[in-house]
Amino acid sequence: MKISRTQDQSNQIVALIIQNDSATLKKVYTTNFSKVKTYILKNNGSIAEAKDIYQEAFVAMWKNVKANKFTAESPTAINGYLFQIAKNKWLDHLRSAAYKNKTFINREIEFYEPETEEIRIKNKQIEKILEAISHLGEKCQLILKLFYFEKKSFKIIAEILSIDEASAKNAKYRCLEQLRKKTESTPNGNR
Amino acid sequence: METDKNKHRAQLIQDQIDQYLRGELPANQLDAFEKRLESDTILKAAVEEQKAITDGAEEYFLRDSLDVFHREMYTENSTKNRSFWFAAAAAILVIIGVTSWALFFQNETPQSVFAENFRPDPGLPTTMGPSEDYVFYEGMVDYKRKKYDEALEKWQPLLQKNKESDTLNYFVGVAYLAKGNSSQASGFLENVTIKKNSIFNDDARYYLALSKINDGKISEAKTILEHINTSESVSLLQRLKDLE
Repeated sequence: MKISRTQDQSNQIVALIIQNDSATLKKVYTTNFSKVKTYILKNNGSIAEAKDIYQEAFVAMWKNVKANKFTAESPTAINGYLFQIAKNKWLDHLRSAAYKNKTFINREIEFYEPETEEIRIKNKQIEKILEAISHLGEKCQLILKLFYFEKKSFKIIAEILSIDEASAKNAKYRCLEQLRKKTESTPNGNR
Repeated sequence: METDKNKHRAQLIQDQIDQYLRGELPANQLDAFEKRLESDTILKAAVEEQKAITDGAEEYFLRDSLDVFHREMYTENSTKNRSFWFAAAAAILVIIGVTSWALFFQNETPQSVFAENFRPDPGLPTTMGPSEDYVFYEGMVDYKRKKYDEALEKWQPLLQKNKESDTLNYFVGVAYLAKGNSSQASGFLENVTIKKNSIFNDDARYYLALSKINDGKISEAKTILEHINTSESVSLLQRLKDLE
């Protein structure tokens, strides 16, 4: 591990992750998978489980970075952080499945909150939104992706799609409205 | 039915909430907006709802990207399993003294190994300077939709101007490879493989190996693969050894 890098580089990685910079996300993803996979395979897991846990850990890392819950001390700190989250998620999985009530695993760092009723409802709501997006048309998905994930301006979106800016804005409005309507029928995520 | 006026109003509010959530609300509107948020519970609920939905959208597209990264990085442990069964079957064939295992591998050609292992790079949002950003990006949208000819049409002129760009050389190379034009792809990919610091270096070498395979240049491909340390290159190298 290199320790003598500047704080600047560390902050830059955090900033690039927050911007959803594809090259950075890919680099972080590909750098850390094999270590997590090895850990999970050594601890009674399968390759499919390794992938699932790793992706959940990656999303958790990304959410924490966005919520300013992660402070980078070095440019590579994100790698250790991601591994730690994946490890904790795997330990939780073992504890909840096979080792329930048998083993108590004392975690050094609590990376995500315990599942309260409030969080359970929120997670259900997120699942519902994810499901609804997958049912949107291709064009709506592309526009929402460009605007909300890639953070493009309407000017750029208009150029990419060869339409004028007003049409791009209208399309974004319609697509988000469609999505909102698909998710509003059960406001609290309850039946 | 929404009247036009209501629709217009709803759109303005949605846009304003977007700007607020993106931190792009102009300073002269921000104060007023935040004051209104304190007292206007309907607006507050609308902001919360929109935040939940757009955060969800962001997460959805992130997860989508992760799957693409994964497919790319770790092309199938099934290739590995298959290699295992090939090896096992080969061992049995040797043991029972079958004269030629060429029979067994008769359907395996360099081209079939290429076809089975080639997945185009998922593409980038953007990494280039602002002025040519959108032309590059337009090409990227074509590329992602597998319209490689159209992507190349947009990228080639850019590449003329930025001959050194590893990003352009890389994607032009992969686009040619995706069209099955491996000898042309090799030239562009080689421009990237000589740049040791490029983030595309490993990927470019992997695709270069694949284009060599498609051209039937197996020993060149092997040499390239021996110098890459990724799971996909290891499994591809194994396939080439099986091919012999």
